[in-house]
Amino acid sequence: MKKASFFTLILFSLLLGSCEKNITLDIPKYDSKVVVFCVLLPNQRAQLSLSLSQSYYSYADTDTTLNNHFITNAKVYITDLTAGTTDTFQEDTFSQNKIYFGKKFIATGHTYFLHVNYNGKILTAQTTVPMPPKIDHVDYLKLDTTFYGGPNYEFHVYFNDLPGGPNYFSVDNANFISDVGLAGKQLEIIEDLSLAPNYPITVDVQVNNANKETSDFLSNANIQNQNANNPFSEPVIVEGNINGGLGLFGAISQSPFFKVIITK
Amino acid sequence: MKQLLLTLFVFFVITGVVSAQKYTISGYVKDAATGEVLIGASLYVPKLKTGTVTNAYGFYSLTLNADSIGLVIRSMGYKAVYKKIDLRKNIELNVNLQTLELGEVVIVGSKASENVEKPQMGVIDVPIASVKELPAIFGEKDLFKVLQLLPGVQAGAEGSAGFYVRGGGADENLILLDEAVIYNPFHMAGFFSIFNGDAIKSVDLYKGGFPAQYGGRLSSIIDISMKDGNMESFHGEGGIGLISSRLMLEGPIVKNKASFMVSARRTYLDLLIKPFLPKGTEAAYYFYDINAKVNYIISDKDRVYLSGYMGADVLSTSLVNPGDTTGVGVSWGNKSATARWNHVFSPKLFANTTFIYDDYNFTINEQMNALQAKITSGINDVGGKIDFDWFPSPLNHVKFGGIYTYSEFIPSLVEGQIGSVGFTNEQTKYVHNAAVYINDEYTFSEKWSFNIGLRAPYFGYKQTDYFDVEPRFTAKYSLDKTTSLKASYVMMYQNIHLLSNSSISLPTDIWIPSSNIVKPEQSQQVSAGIFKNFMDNAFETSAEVYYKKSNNVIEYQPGTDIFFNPNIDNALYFGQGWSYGLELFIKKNVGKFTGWLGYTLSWANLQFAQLNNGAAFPATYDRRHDFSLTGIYNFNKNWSFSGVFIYETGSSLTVPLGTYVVPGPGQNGMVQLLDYGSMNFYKLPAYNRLDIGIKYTRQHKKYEDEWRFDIYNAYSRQNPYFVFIDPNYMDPNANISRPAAVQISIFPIIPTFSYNFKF
Repeated sequence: MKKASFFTLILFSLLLGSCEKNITLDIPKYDSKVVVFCVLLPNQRAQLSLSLSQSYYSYADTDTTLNNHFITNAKVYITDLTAGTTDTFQEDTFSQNKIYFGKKFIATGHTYFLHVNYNGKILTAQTTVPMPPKIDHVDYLKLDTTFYGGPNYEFHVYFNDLPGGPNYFSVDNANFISDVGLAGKQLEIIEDLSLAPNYPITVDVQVNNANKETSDFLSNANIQNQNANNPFSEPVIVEGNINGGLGLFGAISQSPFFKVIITK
Repeated sequence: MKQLLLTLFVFFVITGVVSAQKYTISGYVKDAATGEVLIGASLYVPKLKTGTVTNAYGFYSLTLNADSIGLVIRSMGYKAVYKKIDLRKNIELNVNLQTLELGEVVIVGSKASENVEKPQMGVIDVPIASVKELPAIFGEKDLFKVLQLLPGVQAGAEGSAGFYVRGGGADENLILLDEAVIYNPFHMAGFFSIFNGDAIKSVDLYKGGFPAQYGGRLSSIIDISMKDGNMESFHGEGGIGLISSRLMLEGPIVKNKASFMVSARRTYLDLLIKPFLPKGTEAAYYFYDINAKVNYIISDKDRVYLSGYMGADVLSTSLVNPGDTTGVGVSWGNKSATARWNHVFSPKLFANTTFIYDDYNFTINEQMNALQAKITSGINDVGGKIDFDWFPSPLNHVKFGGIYTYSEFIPSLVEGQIGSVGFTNEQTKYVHNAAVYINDEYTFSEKWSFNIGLRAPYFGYKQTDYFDVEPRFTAKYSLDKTTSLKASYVMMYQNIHLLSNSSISLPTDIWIPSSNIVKPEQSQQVSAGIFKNFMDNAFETSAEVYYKKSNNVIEYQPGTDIFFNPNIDNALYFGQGWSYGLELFIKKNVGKFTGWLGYTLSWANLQFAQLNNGAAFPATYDRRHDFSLTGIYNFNKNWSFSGVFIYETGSSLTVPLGTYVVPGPGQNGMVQLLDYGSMNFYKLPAYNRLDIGIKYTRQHKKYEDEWRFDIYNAYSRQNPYFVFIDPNYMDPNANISRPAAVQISIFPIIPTFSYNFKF
């Protein structure tokens, strides 16, 4: 659709090209915001990055300057509301991306409250770590024809829905399916993979279970990123859950790996 | 609420019938020169202070006490006729009205005071004559561009004929051409509508207070009737413009029995650009319209009409190099055919039976060496309807009937092959649509009258059925002969939905039906207004306020590929919308200077749980102020001047404000994201434009011709056609690439000469 719209638009623009005139629009001034990114994983210590956003329309090279916008000297801690404990984060001064990390291991089913203090600016967020799914079985199918050549395989990953939720399942952390209306049923995710033809091929399959804020953020971030160079695409707003800033304080639980061996 | 309305309705009809009298006058009102029936002509009995108006086929019926009465018959732009009648039996009276000498100088509307007297609001009888008189871009007279100048109607993008009514989306307007639905009424990406003014007899725009015979869309009904064809003599008119030419011919087949009308228009951009194309390249674009209609008066009681429309846009490009063939062909267009049979069962009962076929089709053919692909999208409908006009008493005009349509939706059909390997992806959906309705225009007293109706639509697709009930109610209270207060409540359902990922009207927008996932869209609208005419109806004025609430309105998930998605229903979001506003209208109908002034103050908002953090946001077409002024000054029989000025607040847009990075999935480094702030928070610069035109008319012995000089956008305002974010905009001042919001304006000042004639 977008290709067709783009194509049509270009043709009409060519027809009317002699009349076309471009002008740039004034955009309101932008005040930088603190960006938090932290996805909790069970049985691992939390890692968090902090940075500042900047105006999209500034002259400077965005890639370079953004990477220089990581924040140091912030006070970061999370409170495990389920266990009633607090974990104060330490700054990794060696990391280029200025990672903050906690000392305690994250627990499945626990709810965590994030608190960030940067130059007196307070940011907060809350997330609950979902239950890990378990893969029941995986079927695969070799696709005969593709646009891009092969071998291309279609994997059908079967697993049972988890109690509670809503849960959002994914194989690639970009495209999530919701269990809303499917409580307790067996679910299926279909994933295409192009593989190197070195038979037998071993593929480790894992299903991720995210909570809603994590699913929304990651899927919208993926769509926005895919459309980054299409000026005619509809805007995709990446909505985070950080009070007072941008970004995500989320959680994902991963299933054990399920090994699939494909013989020729 | 529904039960109350039903009870009221039965009460009104019964009280009307009980008070019904003995004898009936009925017949048709026609233009004496052409034999065209006149819609909305009034018949008034001063002695009894009662009357009626002709229906869509020029038929009227008036039942009165046995008496000797005087009957005044009039229609705007025609000389009034007075008939003395001794009503001692049922009388069949056909009336022919002579046009006023001023002819086209007068903006032709309906009965002069109808806007005050009828229990109907939110309706505008669009002045067809002004479509031809007002200046237009490239000299192309366009019905929809005139609609945009009316209060409550917002224009789409620069130069576009698209429009939004009272905060509703572009797909919420039902466009009927001789009762057939037109799904894509635009040519050339929306710059022009498909309606050739030469072939159009009348246009009614309903934006609220919808009578029950109309349904299927939430926001407006545009009911367009083609000319029937001159019953008296052979005539024609046409014109030669900058980008197109047109010709309309009409005349009797059998004098006063049968007539025809045929009209055609075609652009010649393809011929103009051909000499300038590089060698080896072929490119062509043109559009055309053909309207045709015949009608036959079988007897005093029976008449049949056959009408049809066919039009399309055709675009093709190809590049042929040795070993390399690339070509694209795109075409889209509408076809419609309507067969109608009018039958007068009795002086009090008129029926019209209609068979309708319409088709909208969009096709892309693409060849890129070994890849050949054809993408098709469209809808076609086959259906029938029957409408009755029943005049049980002078107090009641009851309309009732039913409609059934069988529709085939093809959101997208992709066929093709790469080398010897074929592929196909078809998503055809078959849908049943039906409705029954009843509506009574009831005169309770000299001061009070009501329009009360019920419509019950049915929609069926696979195992999904939707039965709904739509109550309609309008009340009118006359303060005096020239002033009335009106209020209305309407409910509407919509079962077909347009998915569009562009702010401009492109043929690649697709229609989808309701389903078990996509619920019918529903709106409720309340409106109230005061209507006042001045100086013997020379000036019409009105002030209306409205509030409209819509449910199940549709947006699709950002980034969704709507064209190739096999399960598009699951990629949609459902939310609510609400709009409200004030509309002011002042219109001068007669004299050397005619025209109107319209102003709309409005708000239009949307809310979806999944968008904008669940918070409400302004619709793209939310424009606070919309002002238009049109004027036509007839200096003398030869010279006339016209002008249009428009000012409207810019439309809303979502633009990125900031940017930031987050770690990518796995070990993929950092991902750059955009901070858009809130949806549609940014207002584009205000739109304003002045068009002026001069017309010189010459009367010849056998024909009349005119030269027109129009200037579109006289002060060359750079209005936005569309805005996009260019991440690599080359700033000419700083000689550096940076992201920028870039506005494309395509129409500077455009002077146009055109030549028109009629005989």
